[in-house]
Amino acid sequence: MRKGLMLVLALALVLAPCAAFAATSGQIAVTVTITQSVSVTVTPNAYAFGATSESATLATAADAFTATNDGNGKENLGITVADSANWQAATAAAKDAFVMNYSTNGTTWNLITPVTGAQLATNVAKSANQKFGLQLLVPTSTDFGGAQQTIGVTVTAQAS
Amino acid sequence: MQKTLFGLLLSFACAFTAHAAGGLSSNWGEIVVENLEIGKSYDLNKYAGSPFTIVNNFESGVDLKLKVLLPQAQELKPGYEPIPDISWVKLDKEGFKVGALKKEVVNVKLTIPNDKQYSGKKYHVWIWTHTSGQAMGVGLKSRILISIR
Repeated sequence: MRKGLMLVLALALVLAPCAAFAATSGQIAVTVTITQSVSVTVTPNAYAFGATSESATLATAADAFTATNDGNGKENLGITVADSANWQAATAAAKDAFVMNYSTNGTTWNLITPVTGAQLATNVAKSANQKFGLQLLVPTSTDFGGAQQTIGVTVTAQAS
Repeated sequence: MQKTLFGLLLSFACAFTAHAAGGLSSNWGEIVVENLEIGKSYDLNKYAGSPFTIVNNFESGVDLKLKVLLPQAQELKPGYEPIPDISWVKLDKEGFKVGALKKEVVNVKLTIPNDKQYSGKKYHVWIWTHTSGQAMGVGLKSRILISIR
C-alpha cells in the first residue's frame, strides 16, 4: 500500500513539467498548441494631406507607408478604414462621404471597402515588409468645411 | 479658380510628423485547442501555459480595443467552420491603455454549450486587437482553432 502511494507521487513529479500545455478536464486531456506569434509595425503612423477642396483626389506616394512583419512566421496583412468625426467611409464619394483606396505600385488603386476592408498583402515573410500608398477621394460636398477630419486607417496582421 | 476652397484641413493627423515606428505583437498568432467537451468552460490562458499577451511596441502609450470576430468565408482555416456564436468567447477586457513598450495580459474564457450538435466539430474564431484613435493604426488577428470531442 505504501509502495503504491510512493510510486504515484514519483510519477506526478516526473509528469509535472509536461502539464503546461495539456491540462485535464475530467478524464480528458485538453491540449493547447500555440503555433505562431504575430507582430506588425507600420511607419509612419500619421500623414497630413493638408487643406483641400471638395471632390479633390489626393494621394500619397506609393511607398509612403511600410508595414513590416515582425512575427515568427508568414503573415497576411489586411487594411481597414474608419469614419472620421463628420464623414463616412464609402464606396463612392458623395456629400460627407469619402473613399479611401490603397496601392502597392502607384498605378492600380484598390478600394478599401468600408467595414470589411481589403487585403493589402498575403504571405509576407518573416522580417519582410510591404510598402503601400493611400489615395483619398474627398466628399463632393460637405457641411463641415473648415473642420479638420481625422481618418483612421488600420493595418492588421494575421498568421498566413 | 476653384469654386469652393474652404480651408478644409483634411488629415490623418495634425501634421506629417516624424512619429517613431510602432506596432503590436502577440504570442497568440494561432492557437489550437483540442479535446474540448460540450457543457464545459475553459480558461484558455491557464490551458495554454502562455497567457494571451499583447505587447505595445510603440514608444508611447496606445489605446487598444479587442473584439471577438467571426471569420469570413475566405479566411476560414481548412477543416474548420465559423464558431456558431461569438458569445462562446469572453475576454476579461475589451479596451485599455498600454504604456510605451509595455505588455498586457487578457484572459480568454471559452464556453461550449451543452448541446450534442457541437460534438465532433471544429471551429474557428478570431480575436481582433487594434489601436484606437491613431491615424495610422495597427492590429492583430489571433486565430483560435477549437476541436470538440
